[in-house]
Amino acid sequence: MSAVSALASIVKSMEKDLGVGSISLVIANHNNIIFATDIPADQRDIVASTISFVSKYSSLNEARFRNGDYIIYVTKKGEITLVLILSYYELESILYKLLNKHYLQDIIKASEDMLREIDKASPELSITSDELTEEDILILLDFFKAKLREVESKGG
Amino acid sequence: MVKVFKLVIAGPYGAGKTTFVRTLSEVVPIETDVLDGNKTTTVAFDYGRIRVNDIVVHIFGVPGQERFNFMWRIIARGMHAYIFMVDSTSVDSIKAALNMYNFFESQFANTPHIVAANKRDISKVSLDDVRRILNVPPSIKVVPLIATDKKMALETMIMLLEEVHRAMFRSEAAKTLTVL
Repeated sequence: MSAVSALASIVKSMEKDLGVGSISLVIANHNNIIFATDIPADQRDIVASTISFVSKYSSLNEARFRNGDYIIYVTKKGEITLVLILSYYELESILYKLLNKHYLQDIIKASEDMLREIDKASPELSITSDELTEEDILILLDFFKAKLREVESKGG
Repeated sequence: MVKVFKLVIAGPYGAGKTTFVRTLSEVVPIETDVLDGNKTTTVAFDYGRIRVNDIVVHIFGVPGQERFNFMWRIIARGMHAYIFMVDSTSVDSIKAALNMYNFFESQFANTPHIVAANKRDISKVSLDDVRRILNVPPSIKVVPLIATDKKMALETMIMLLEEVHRAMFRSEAAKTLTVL
């Protein structure tokens, strides 16, 4: 099972076990979102801002606040930030249960697996490199034109 | 130092972004949309990579669902160019891409891009209609695509890079004029 499927499965188990209608989960690596389930429309901006805020303050490891009808719970472990969004009325009664069960550890573990999968492919969302020159673009153009000729010669 | 060309593939859910990345990439793309029964749609992002000498082309697919629009800006940060892909099989599927196209066109107005009308093998909608429905500016190319077809995927990449090259030339020419 891939890390993405494992995370989806954990969220489903949490909803079933805790008897709540819907839990939204967002996982970020530093400032980059690497996983998200369905998020209430009016909570998206605050979630993005929260991730940005938490990633900047290394001493902040846990926070919980209310935004409208929702409670947003944020926790950070190493490079991973988890954001859980639940209905305010549901979370108040189950928060203790949620935080004292194995779910968070399971999510962190699956997130770390996901990071390893990502690292394996080496993507870089926040890319820094030397400025590309016109010559670099011409090199890329030549490369893709050569690939095209190769495919055409094979009759592809 | 290795240089990076960051390419973003934007477009609504079902446009064919994952297929396009898979057709071009040298590495197995990272898993993206996963349906969990019929309830939860989980997203990460598509990712592919091509290495050309000291230049690495990173290809990122943006999650297409509107509810994840807060991720579009995050993934698009630092991109050099983008391909906006639509499922061109019907007028409705093209209309479904309108909001997302408007977002990219307005937020990244100076970033070179082309519009790829995908699934041309089964489409009856003309490229002119794709342009009209999305209100694509005359300076932006609308190109036919079958994302599973490597030849067409490569042709799309070449057309995009030509746009990038043209944009660089324009800006260099503008700089020279300013200096003069």
